[in-house]
Order: sequence, then C-alpha cells, then structure tokens
Amino acid sequence: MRRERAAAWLAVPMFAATVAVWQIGVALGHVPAWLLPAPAGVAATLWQARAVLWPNAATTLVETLLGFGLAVALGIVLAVAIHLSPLLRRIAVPWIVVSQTVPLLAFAPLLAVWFGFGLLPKVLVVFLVAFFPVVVDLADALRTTDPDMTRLVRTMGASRLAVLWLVELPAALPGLASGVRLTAAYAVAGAVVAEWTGASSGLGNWMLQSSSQFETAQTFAAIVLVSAMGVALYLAVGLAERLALPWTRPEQALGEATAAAPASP
Amino acid sequence: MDATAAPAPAALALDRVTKRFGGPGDPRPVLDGLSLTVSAGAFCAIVGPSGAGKTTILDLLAGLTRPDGGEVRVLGRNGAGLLGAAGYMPQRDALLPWRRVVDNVALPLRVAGVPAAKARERALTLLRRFDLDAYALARPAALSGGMRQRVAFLRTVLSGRGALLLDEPFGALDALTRADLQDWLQDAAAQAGQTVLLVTHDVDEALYLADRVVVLAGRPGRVVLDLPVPLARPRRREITLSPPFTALKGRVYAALGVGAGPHRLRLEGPAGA
Repeated sequence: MRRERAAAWLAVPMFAATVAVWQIGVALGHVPAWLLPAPAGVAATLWQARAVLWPNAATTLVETLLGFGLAVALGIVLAVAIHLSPLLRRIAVPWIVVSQTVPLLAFAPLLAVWFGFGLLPKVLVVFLVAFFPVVVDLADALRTTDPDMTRLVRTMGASRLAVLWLVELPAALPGLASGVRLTAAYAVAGAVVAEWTGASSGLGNWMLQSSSQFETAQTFAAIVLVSAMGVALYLAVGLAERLALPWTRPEQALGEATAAAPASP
Repeated sequence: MDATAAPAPAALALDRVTKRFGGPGDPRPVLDGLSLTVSAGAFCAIVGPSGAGKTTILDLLAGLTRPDGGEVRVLGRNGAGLLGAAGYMPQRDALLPWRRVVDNVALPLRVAGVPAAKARERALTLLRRFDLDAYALARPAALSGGMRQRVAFLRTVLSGRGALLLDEPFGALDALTRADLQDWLQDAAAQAGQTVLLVTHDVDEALYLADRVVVLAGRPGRVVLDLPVPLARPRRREITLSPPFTALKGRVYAALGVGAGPHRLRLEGPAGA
C-alpha cells in the first residue's frame, strides 16, 4: 500500500517534467502561440480570462454532476433489476449494449433537436456515456457474490430481498465503486461533446469558439480546466470509496486487530 | 430408526429420503430411502467417506435443497419452513467481511426481524459469555482461523432455535487449533443446550464430541453403524488414549472398511467401493 502511494507521487515529477519540456521546446523552436502556446501562456490565459472561464466552467460542472448523478442512480437501479430478474436481463442487456454502440457525435445533435439547447440534452449525453460502466460493473459484482454467504443467509430464513440487502449489495460495493470511478473520468468528456453539438455556454462551447478564432491558448485553458474537473471527480469518488468501504483496506483491518485484540488465547 | 415409530418427537428427522442430482433417471442417487432421527438435546456426529451423502443430509435439513422423495423435518417444521429452522455452520466460516464481529454474530437475529440495537445487545452478551467481547468490534479479516470459527459458531447458536447443523467446522484448521476448538465446542455446545448434528471426516473428533456416531457408506448413502458413545462428560483429551475410546474407534474403522484390505485403506476412497 505504501509502495503504491509512493508510485502515485511519482506522477508529480513526471507531470512537471512534461510541462518543462513543452515550455522549453516551444521557446527554443520559436513555435507561434496560435499553433501551440507555451504552458506559461496557457497559465496566463487561465488567469486573465477567469471572468469568462468561471461561468462557463460552472455550466459544464453542473451538466457533468447532474448527468453523473443520474447515471449512478439509474445504473444501480438497472443493475439490481437485471440481477433479480433473468427475464429483464434478456430484454434489457441487448439495449444497454446497443446504447454504447451509437456514435455519440451523431446522436447528440438529435438530442438538441428534440430537447432544445438547454441543460437537458447535455445531461442526457453525460448519462448515456456514464451509466454503462456502473451497470456492467455492479451487475457483474452482484452475480459473483460468494455463494457460501448467500446460502448461509438463506438458511437463516432470509427472503430474496433480505439476501440482496444483507449480502449481495454490500459484497458488490467494491465492484460498484470501480464502475463509478471509471464513469467519473468519462462524465466530463461527455459534457464537452454535448456542448460541441449546440450550446450557448460551457467549456466545450468556449473551446470551439476559441479554436475557430485561433485563440489556441484559450482552447488549452479550457482543456486544462476540463481535465482538472475529471481528475477531481475521479479522486473524490476514490476518497468516498476509501471512507465508505473500510473493510477493503487490508492495513485498516490489521490496525483494528492490534487495537481490538489483547492476546490470543 | 423409523421416524414414525419414535416415541418422542425427534428434533431432526429424515424419513425414507431420496435425493438424486442427475434428474429422475439418475441410476445412482446420493440418498435412496434413508431414514435417520436425532432426538432433542442430543449431540450426534456423522462420519463417512466423501460421496456418502453427509453434506447432502445437512443441506436437506437446512432447507437448502429439497428431497426427491420422503420427508425432512426439523423441530416440527418441514418443506419450505426448513429455511430458518436450524442453525447452519458451513465448512468455510462465511463471515461477512464488512460486518464487525458483533454484527456477524447478530446477523441471524437481524434476518429474523429483531431490531438492530437489541440484536447487537444479545450478540454482545453471548460474546461476553465466551470471553470474546474484546474482539466484538474487530472485522473478520483481523481474526485468526480458529477465532473466525468461534465467531461463526456463536452466530450459528443465535440462528438455531434448538438445532445446530455443523458441516466440517474445523476441517480447514491445523491440528493444534483444531484440538483447542474441539474442547471449546464441547463446552459451547453444552452451554447452548441445543441438538447438534456434526458432519466430519475425523473419527477422533466425532467420538470425542458426540453422544452418538452414525457411520455412513455410499453410494447411495446408508447407515452402516449407529454407535452410542457412553463416555462420561466433560471429556478430557486423555480420554482419546483410553481403552474404551480406542475400542469404539476400532468399531468405527471396521464399519468404514478401513484396514479391511489393501485397497480399502483410505477414508477418502471412491464412494461405494
């Protein structure tokens, strides 16, 4: 675990080195800013354009969080329903798979035609991108619950729903968490794609306008913000997972052992 | 052996039970008209080779599987009512890793609809009686194998309303822990005051713990020896070296066919050989 954390911190110097190479390369090569701006220029733009960037970022963030929340909530409901009903599994699973094969860039404009240029079509695009990993990971985790545990609780006279609530759902929480973490990384990108197909605000919209005016530094500033949002959401889900599922952390279990157990008889 | 002829109602009864896993045409059923009863309050052990139907008998009594013929009764309940009638302890402890020890022990009470606070209180009382309350807030991952089996047994005690079904509870433990747990179980079972049916591969364990040892042979499973164990309680480890104990052990081995010929030496030999 400690080793993993040390490896995670290695990402910081790696990232810094990439930025440094980029900065030096642009300076030495005399690359024009409209083609590829230097990181310092992007940072300056982030600061100078903050008054415009902030409301646009807020729009994108709201679309992302609503779509993400909807994807997690409906994804859980769908996975549980599929788990409980073999009939529903046969009916729903093909449609769920089809929903992922639809080319989003072609489908998103249709949503705009149907639902206008407001919030709703963006939330729906984010939902379409984000619900799939939740359903697949949770349904798989529910199906692979340790049969010894479900058998045991059945011998106690538990109903089907009690088995789900007491054993299958808690056992599937780590699987759900990995699906939600994956989805957190996709959700922001979904919102940006939705904004490309028709929006009056949002980072995706701003990104598109900036690149059509060769304001490349502004495009990069938007990209930086979008990435930061995705990373923040991903990390927040990871943190929530650590706090909510303490038994999945081996070092925690051992710490409790020394605290709770005086001496082995 | 016939359940209908028993004078007092038996706690556990299999009445001419047939069970086949290969469908109605299965030429070799696991059980074919087997009858067996355990009277209330008794500690009965079943020994036999793999494939003689020991685990099937427990699954039938626990309600996890239905017989293809005959009737299974536990404490006056039968059919679908068997689920929830007896406490069942699987080979692997099956403790839920996300529940603390006290909440694992309380699990059967929660399933039965007892409110959380009251279920916890009763589980804690039981843990305290067995000097395990120091572990009450630990998670199962923090416990040793022997400790996990103790917790699993106490959980079984709270799920049994008078009968406990133990499926090779100590099969995965090392020899020393196992001996320790056998002594512990002897005490714990006496305190619980419930009917116990123990399935085991270990002849010493069966004779050391039980009032009665049933030897099964298969397949289909049939009773080849029904042996009372008239050894005084509480039993101590030394008893396993005493002449009465070794005499009983000889009878069980003879019934199992161990030592009867060069190809019958292994307890784990092919079923029905």
